[in-house]
Order: sequence, then C-alpha cells, then structure tokens
Amino acid sequence: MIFPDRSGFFHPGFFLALVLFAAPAPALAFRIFVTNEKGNSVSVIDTDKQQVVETVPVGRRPRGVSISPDGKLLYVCASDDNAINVLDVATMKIVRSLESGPDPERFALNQAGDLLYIANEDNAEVTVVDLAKNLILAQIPVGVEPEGMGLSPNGELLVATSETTNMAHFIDTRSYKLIDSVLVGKRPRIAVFNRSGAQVWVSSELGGDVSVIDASSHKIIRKITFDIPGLTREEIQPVGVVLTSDGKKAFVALGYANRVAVVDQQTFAVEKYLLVGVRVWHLAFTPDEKLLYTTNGNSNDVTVIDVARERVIKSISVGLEPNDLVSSLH
Amino acid sequence: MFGKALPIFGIWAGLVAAAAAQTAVSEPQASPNEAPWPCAQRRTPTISAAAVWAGPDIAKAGDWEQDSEAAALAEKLASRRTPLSEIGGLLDDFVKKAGADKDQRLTRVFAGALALINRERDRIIAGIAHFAEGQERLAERVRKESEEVADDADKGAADAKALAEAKVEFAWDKRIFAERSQSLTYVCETPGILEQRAFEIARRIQEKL
Repeated sequence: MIFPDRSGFFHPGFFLALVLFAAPAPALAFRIFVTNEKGNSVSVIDTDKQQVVETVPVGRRPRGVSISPDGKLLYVCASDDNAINVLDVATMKIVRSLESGPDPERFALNQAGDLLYIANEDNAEVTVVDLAKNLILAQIPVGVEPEGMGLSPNGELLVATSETTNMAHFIDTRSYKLIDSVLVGKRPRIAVFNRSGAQVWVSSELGGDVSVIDASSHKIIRKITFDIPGLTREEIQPVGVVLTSDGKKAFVALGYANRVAVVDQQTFAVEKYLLVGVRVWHLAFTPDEKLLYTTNGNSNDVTVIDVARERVIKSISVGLEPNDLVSSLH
Repeated sequence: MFGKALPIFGIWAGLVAAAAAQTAVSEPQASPNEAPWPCAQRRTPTISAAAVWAGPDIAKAGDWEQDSEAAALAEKLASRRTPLSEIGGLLDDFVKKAGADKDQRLTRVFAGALALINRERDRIIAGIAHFAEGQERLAERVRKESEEVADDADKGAADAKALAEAKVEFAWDKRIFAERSQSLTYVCETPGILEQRAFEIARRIQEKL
C-alpha cells in the first residue's frame, strides 16, 4: 500500500468509486455482500451481472453482516477474532475493528446507525456498543448461546434468541432491561419484526418451526410448520427468515432441507418450496425486494430468487461456507 | 519432558475442540450410542432423494439398473473422476437419444447416480468411524509412551538404552498419529463433497426436464 489507509479516503478505489457514482447509474444494480465463514472473506456480487466481482479478506470466521443506514459502512462479525470489522463499502477495506465481547455471531444495527446490539454466543450476553465511541454501553445477560437479534422498527424493542435455552428474550432498549422471555421451539435462530412492528417471527432450527409472536402481548399467535414429502422432520431446519415490507410474503430458509419456503404473511400458509442449494442458512432481499439471495453453506454458493415469480434464477459460486449476506442500499 | 507430549495432546484436543465447536454452532447432539465420530462436520445419514430433487417421483420412473444406458450414465456422473463441468455435455448426449420417455429416463439417471453416490458415501462414513477407533487407541498408546519416557528420564541415566528406545518409539507413534490426523481432516470433507455432487447432478438433470 502506498497510502496510509486508515479512513480509506486516500485509497485509489475511493476516487474510482467517486467516478462511478458520478456516472449515470445503470438501472438498479446492487451489490450483495456475502460472508464466507471458512473462507475468512466477503464475496461481493453485482446484481446486474449476477456474478462475484470482488472477494476481500476479513477477520476469522466471519458470520453476521449488516450495512449502515447510509449504506457507506459494512459491519462483519469476525467471530474467532472477537471483533466486528467495519469496512468502507466504497473501498471494501477494513477501516476499524470494534469491541464486540467474546464470539460475536450476529447483531442488529439501530436505524440511526449509532448503536450495535451483538449476540455473544459464548457468554450468554447481549452487548450494546456505541459505534462512534467504540464503547460497550451495556452487557445484558440472556439465555445460553444467544444468536438471533431482531430490532423493532421504532428501535425500542430488541428480541434476542438463545439457542440452548430455547427462548426469545424481549429487551427494552432504553433501560437495557430484560422485560420478558418467551419459550419457543428448540434451537431458535433468527428473530425478525414485520414492517408494522406488531409481530416478531422466530425460527427454530431443531423445533422445525417458525413462531409468530405478538410484539405487545408476547404471546405466540401461530407456529408455522413445514412438511416436505420424502423428508423427515429432522431434515427440515428453519434458520433464515425475511418478510416483504408490503406484508404479503415471508421466505424461510430450511437448512438441511436445501429449500426456501414461501409463506403467506397474512394466513401463515406455506405456499411453495424452492430447491436452492445445500444447507441454506440465510436470506437477503435487494432494497427493491425484487430479488432474494440465499447463502448455501455446503454447496459454497448463493442462489438468486425472483421474488415476484417465486422462482430460482441462478446459482453463483462464492467462498467457502457462505454464512450471512446483506445488500448494498444503492 | 512433559513439553514433548504436549503437541500430541494439542492435535487431539484441537480435533475434539473443533468437533465441539461445530456441535455448538448449528448441529444437534449425536445420539450417545453412535460410534465415535472424529469429524468437525456433522455425521449426516444417507442423502434422501427429496433433499436434492424436486423432479418426478423416482419410485415411478422404473428400475434404473434395467435401463443400461441410464445406468451407464449414472455411473459416470457419480464417479468423482468425472469433473462437474462435464455433466452438462454428458446429459445433452443422453437427451438426444433418450426418445419419447426422456423425463422418465432422466429420472432413472438421477436415481442411479444418487444410489451410487450414497453407496460410496456410506462406505466412507463407515471407514471414518473405523479409523476414529484406531486413532483413539493410538492416542492412548502415545499418552502411555510419553509417560514412560518421562518416568525413565526421572530415573536418571541408569537405563539410558531403554530411555533411548522408548524415545524412538514415542517419536514414531507421535508422527504417525499427527499424519493420520492431518489426512483425517481431508477425509472428513468427503461426505460433504459427495453431497454437493449429488445436489449438482440433480440440479443439472432437473434443468433438462
């Protein structure tokens, strides 16, 4: 490196990016950032070309990934480094590493983009980090092996899942107090709020179901189960869940079943299964919600789904053991 | 003296820790009556057709072994000597001469390839379990030898010859153990690679239906 590169500002890529942004943008090309858990890297997919355009090294065992509300920074859990890497999206260089507490697996970023809520798998805590100050504000004890982190749209309620305790923990983000814990199916993985914030959907990998929880009463409204002919219940392991913002569809990644389930958000009926890749873990929409991408941990690829037609378009090879993914905002 | 024994425990402990870590991530506990399983990867049973296939029912496609062309192609596809990049071409050739019941015959090709991959995979999984038992016994022997070397050394130079012999034996077993452990990490990846292969074959065949 010729230039000191702490901020990324002096990197030649920054100027290149400026030029690219200044040029008239092609119709809605996004970039998908995929963490490769075993590859210790992030693969960057161009949604126009539908191929990997860049692979960048990050910390060890990268898993959860998120993007700042302004789309400029990428946050990556480097689980084996006990840190969060912050990458400049324009240069794809690591500009900072943040305090995270031990073994960070997944996290949630608030809408203001100044607070990060991190699940510390090893010590049964949720760590709250002030991003500007790189300061741990609170460590909230929860159940064993916390993983999923869902933040309500207004940012007031955080739901953390604990894989071993089998609970969804409701946390008040103003007081950092645990206000309730709801027992769900075995090995809960992901918690995600719907657009209105009225419901939290929690996937249970070993329970084989998705619990839909009323966000104010904390009661389970519905348990969605999945039935695929020829597969045993043990092979159907829901992990990733995403909900369309129009309140119509939900997509659930079913792990060992190698399929994504399409669910009606209103009736909770499972409508369809899409065969994607081996060990499908997580899902991410492009911001226009036209395309859905899945990480397939054991076939080392990402599947592209046409959301409107509910069809698989393509598989794209990425690094070793892709885990999580997120789209660029622009 | 103890320091010499450490690398061995390091390897074994590393293997066990890796297995434990993997269990902690996303895997359910193995049932206790199963044979020892030394891989970080979860031991997954036979690949079921439904896990990789969303095409026609394979039970209704007829016996693949009775369709010699389908069986020959299945064998070629299942073999790891055939690069995945050649699958498309091989399938195209088959489709050209498959005739009116093309879909049915392609389903047979899939059924055959899956059966053959599962056969190989089951054999490898059994081999890994057998290997793990042998490695456990060797680990125990290395541990005893390291203790003996330490004991002999503590006794001083009284039996220098015995000490030298014990050291040689210890060094050999230690090396064999380490080399086997290394090859194990490679072997452990094979069931997963075969599953990827089954999925890829299924995907390519479904594209032709």
